[in-house]
Amino acid sequence: MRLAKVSTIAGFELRRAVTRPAYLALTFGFPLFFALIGGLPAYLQRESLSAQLERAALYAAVDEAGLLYLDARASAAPPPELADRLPPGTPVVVHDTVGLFGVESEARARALLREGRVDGVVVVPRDLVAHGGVRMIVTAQISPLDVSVATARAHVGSLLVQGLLHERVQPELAERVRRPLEGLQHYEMDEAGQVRAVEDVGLSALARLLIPITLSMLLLMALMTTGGYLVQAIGSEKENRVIEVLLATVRPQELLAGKLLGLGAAGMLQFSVWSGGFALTLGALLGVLEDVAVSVPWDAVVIAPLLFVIGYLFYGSLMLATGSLGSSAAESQKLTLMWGMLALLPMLFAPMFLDDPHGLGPLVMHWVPFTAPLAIVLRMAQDPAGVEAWELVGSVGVLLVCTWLSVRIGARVFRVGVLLSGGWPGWRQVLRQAEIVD
Amino acid sequence: MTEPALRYRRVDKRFGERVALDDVSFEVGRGEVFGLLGPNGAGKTTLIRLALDILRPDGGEVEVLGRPVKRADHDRIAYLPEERGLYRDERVIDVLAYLARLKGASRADAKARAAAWLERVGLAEVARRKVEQLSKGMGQKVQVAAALVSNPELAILDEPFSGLDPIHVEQVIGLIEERRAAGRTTILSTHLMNRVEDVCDRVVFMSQGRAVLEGTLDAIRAARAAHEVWLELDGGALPEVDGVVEATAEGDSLRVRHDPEVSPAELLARLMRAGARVRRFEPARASVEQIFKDAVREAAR
Repeated sequence: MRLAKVSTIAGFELRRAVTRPAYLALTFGFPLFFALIGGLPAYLQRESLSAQLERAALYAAVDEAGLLYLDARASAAPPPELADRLPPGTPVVVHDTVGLFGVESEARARALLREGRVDGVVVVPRDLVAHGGVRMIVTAQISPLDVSVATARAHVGSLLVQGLLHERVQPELAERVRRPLEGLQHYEMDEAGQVRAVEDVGLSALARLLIPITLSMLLLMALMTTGGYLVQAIGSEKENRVIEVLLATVRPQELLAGKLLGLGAAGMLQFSVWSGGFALTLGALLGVLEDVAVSVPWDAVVIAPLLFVIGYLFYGSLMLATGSLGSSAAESQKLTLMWGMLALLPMLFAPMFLDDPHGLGPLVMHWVPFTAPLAIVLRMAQDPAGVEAWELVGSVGVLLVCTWLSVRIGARVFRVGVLLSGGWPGWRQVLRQAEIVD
Repeated sequence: MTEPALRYRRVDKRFGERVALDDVSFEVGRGEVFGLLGPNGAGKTTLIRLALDILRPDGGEVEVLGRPVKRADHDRIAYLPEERGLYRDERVIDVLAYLARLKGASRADAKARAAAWLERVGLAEVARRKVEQLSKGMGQKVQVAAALVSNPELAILDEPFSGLDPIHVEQVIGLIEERRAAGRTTILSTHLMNRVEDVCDRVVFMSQGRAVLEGTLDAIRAARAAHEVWLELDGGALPEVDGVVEATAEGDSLRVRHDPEVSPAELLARLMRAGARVRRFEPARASVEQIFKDAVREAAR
């Protein structure tokens, strides 16, 4: 094989692919669309939340029950944005961004709220122990779901717990009553009874599902769209007879290799843009940068591009070979549908991977070359520690051997296919001419 | 001794049950303009594909530029397919430069050659247009330029005059003759017989997978009588005589096709006996077209 020819074809195909409006629209439009429908609203929501969290709120507390002990718990140095709103020397208890200071009567507190000098009022009734009935008053402009309201509620609750237990139990016990779940940890047990810590729950667990599914989807889409470019390229070259001019100059294997590499590079670029766009969007969606500890399955993320390359070469050579048998671009695409269906299988069985990534179904798909690229990513993303190194090396090795075979057989069928015209001679005839069977 | 540019030796090729080539042997000399003639399905395209190593023969040998076709240097060979074979959505200059690069030219050299060839065929102004924006004639000229941009030692041109007006046909013939003068070999596959007579040094007639005639046009003509005579009479109609197959008036003359079994001398004697007053009687020189038709008819029999 003459590498100079292969590289010339690859460069030409890459340039042709990446300058097509359809390619540009799909490569950049898809993540943009995804970001617009998912990321932008999440980003705006997060910005709004951050603004609420950063805004300091001042509450006037009327402690008729005498349980808050505000003077005793006053912060030595309240934040300036709270201190500036109070007469000098007023004791204020600060928790997160909410400050609480004492007022002698509910009427006085309401007056302060009406004048806009405080953001809310808390009244602890005299008969709290018997009947409960703490009252919180905020203006109608503040949503009951506002973060400052929730923070104030938690703040007052915490102070009341401490107040109720004051001098009745030991201070350590009072503190534990106030925060009984401090330092909570989650564990899970495997089939062998081994227990291990689970770091991510809630939103983080959602991310753990979302990342492998999306990564596999992106891998599948990149494989199929790039394969589609290959089939379209060979179909139209047959249609307009360019193929004969090319075959007068280069060998079919060189043409196949050049196309695989050039359009593969275009596909890799597309996959990178999509993955980057997805990571940014997911980051915005989950607030991953600050608020949620997401454990990114880095093993799967790192191996996905490698699997894209091998999977693409495997499927690409098969698609080129079968696509070359069509007499037009449309017919070529029909002929290659079966490969797309095979590649899609792991996605159809995604629940199996999410339920038990080491079950029989996922294991079979892990080793079968047609499903291996996606199955490996799904398994590793779902449970990186559960996929042994030998499993990974073995299945990638099987995939590599099958890729080598598919490129060789694909090149032979391709040589026959690109010259076919008119009626379909049948598989036996094609394979005979390709010198694959006698 | 210089090896021929192209040599087929006892070549067979079958596609399933269909025989595409049957024991075909002929040579194309270096620097020749060679006509590859024959009706559709005669085996011309298969011969071309064998020369380009796109197909392999079932039997026999094919040598290109002195080497077995498998080891031939395809950078020295160019091919122009019958139908337009260019990327329709690419700029003209880019397609030519790409094809030149595939033939081994550097990036800069390929661009320069492409621009020079477009200048040469009078299409410099469309260099940056897309191929799909060209007229059929322009597209065909670009196709010719694409085939010749690498200045190949052997160029195989399948219907190079297709879609060209007479002026552009002359222009392409000029390019072919320049190649002959430079000692470069050109194989023409065409249906335009008058152009074959104008430009080809030698021809081969293919019919049903066999080479039925081969040689210089003069030699073929000498070997094959036309079975036609030019006849002028001093008044009166052509009398009915045995052996006259067809008579066609062309100006003051009659072109009379006669039975191959009847010699021109015998035909003249029969006419005289029938009372014809013959002013001119001249055996006609066979046209390439007629030879072609006769050869095909004979092969079919």
